[in-house]
Amino acid sequence: MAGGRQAVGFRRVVLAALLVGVAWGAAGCDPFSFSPHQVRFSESERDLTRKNLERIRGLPQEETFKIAVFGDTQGRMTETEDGVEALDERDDVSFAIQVGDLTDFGFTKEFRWTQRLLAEIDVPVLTVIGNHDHLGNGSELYEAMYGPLNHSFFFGRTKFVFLDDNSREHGFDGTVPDLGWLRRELPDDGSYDRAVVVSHVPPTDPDFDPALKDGFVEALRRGGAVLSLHGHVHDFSDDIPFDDGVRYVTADGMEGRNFLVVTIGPGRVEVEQVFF
Amino acid sequence: MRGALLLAILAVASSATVPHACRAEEEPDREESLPFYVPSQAKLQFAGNVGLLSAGGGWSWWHRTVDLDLMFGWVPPMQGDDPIYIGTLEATVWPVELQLGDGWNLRPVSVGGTLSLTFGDDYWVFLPDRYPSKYYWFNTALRIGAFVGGSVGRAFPAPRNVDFYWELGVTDLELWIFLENPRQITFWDVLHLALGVAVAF
Repeated sequence: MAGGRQAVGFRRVVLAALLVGVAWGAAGCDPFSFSPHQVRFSESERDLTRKNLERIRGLPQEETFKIAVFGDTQGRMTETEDGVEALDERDDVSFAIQVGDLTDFGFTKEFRWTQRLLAEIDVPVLTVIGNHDHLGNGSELYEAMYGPLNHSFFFGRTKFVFLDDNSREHGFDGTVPDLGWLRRELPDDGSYDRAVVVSHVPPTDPDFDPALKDGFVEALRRGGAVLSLHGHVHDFSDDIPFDDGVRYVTADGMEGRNFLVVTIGPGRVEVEQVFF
Repeated sequence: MRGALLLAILAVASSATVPHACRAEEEPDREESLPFYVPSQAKLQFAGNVGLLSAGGGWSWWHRTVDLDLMFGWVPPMQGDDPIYIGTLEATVWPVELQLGDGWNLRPVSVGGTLSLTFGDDYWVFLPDRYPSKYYWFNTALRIGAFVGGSVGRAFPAPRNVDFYWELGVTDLELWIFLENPRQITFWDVLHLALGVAVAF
């Protein structure tokens, strides 16, 4: 009977569809994607800067403390995973910072996959946006997952200032980095003893707006910065390039299988490269 | 970009306005009864990495074994501020069609490819002037996709079909990241599902 054959056909189709759906659900994935650039994260993937800052506020804020600094992850997931494991074996680090280029292409799924690895870090983790993270819908994705591109917080008597300085992605239009904001964040008015600035591109790099370089260096020097942390160049460096006492440190890319442990305290900044 | 948009709109518009008179006549093989440029099907699709919804239409040849469709996709603002618009050119091959009786048919296998273009200033095919040459090795606007799928449908009567189809697809650079990181990413992470309906007239 035609009707019977039709029913069998349907049943098979429905069964196959159900099997696919169940397997997908079991893998913990959402089978529907609307664009590689869709801004669509689960609640646990959102607002991560604020959530991590809350955890940091709950930490004992000692005068001298250590932070870990991860370089560009940019699709190097095996190295990132190994680095996370190596970091988790330590118990001397208060929190960790990733210095941008979480992604290669600025895709939604890349942000998700990288964050899945960073979420395994036992201590709180903060990030800053890199040039690759700006691609396509990247800045919207970054804001949805982490929060504002520029932000600051206090850890004891140390002020941390995180900012977007991917000038080339903005066509060197003079707005990035936002020097007005940076100067206001670094008033050196006694509200902090030292400042640490974190941005992706070091000011010595051609991707940093040359018209804003002097203003940036000046803001750090006047603002009581002792350390400026960067990534982007995929090579470790630790210099005082402007002879003003401010240390500019770039973390190696994760492919170099190392991260930094930085000790910060009164009159003290020590940078150690930790290989894994 | 404007050209692609226009084409997509034309495709949708023309598939919606095929003269009714054509249908009233006997047309055992539609392929011979209308000029080649008149689309023979309209489609509406959910997901598939080319829009939350995408609509369009296209052409079908050799008794529904090869389809070519032009779709216009839209992603509403969800957690960001801006909608996303995507134009997609899609080719599908349907090697097998099983008649289930009573006008119902099952096409258990489809294989296809997509070229999709994300519109807007944030997306580029060629590296903009602000970058030195070869600064990025990829482009952010044009994506290549591949999929397998199937359909179940009914003729009212042939060749006027309504088909419900599904596609399991991957997108070029997402697949690339998976291939680079098979330990951290599962194939399920990169695979995406599309569901849609195609109406042939």
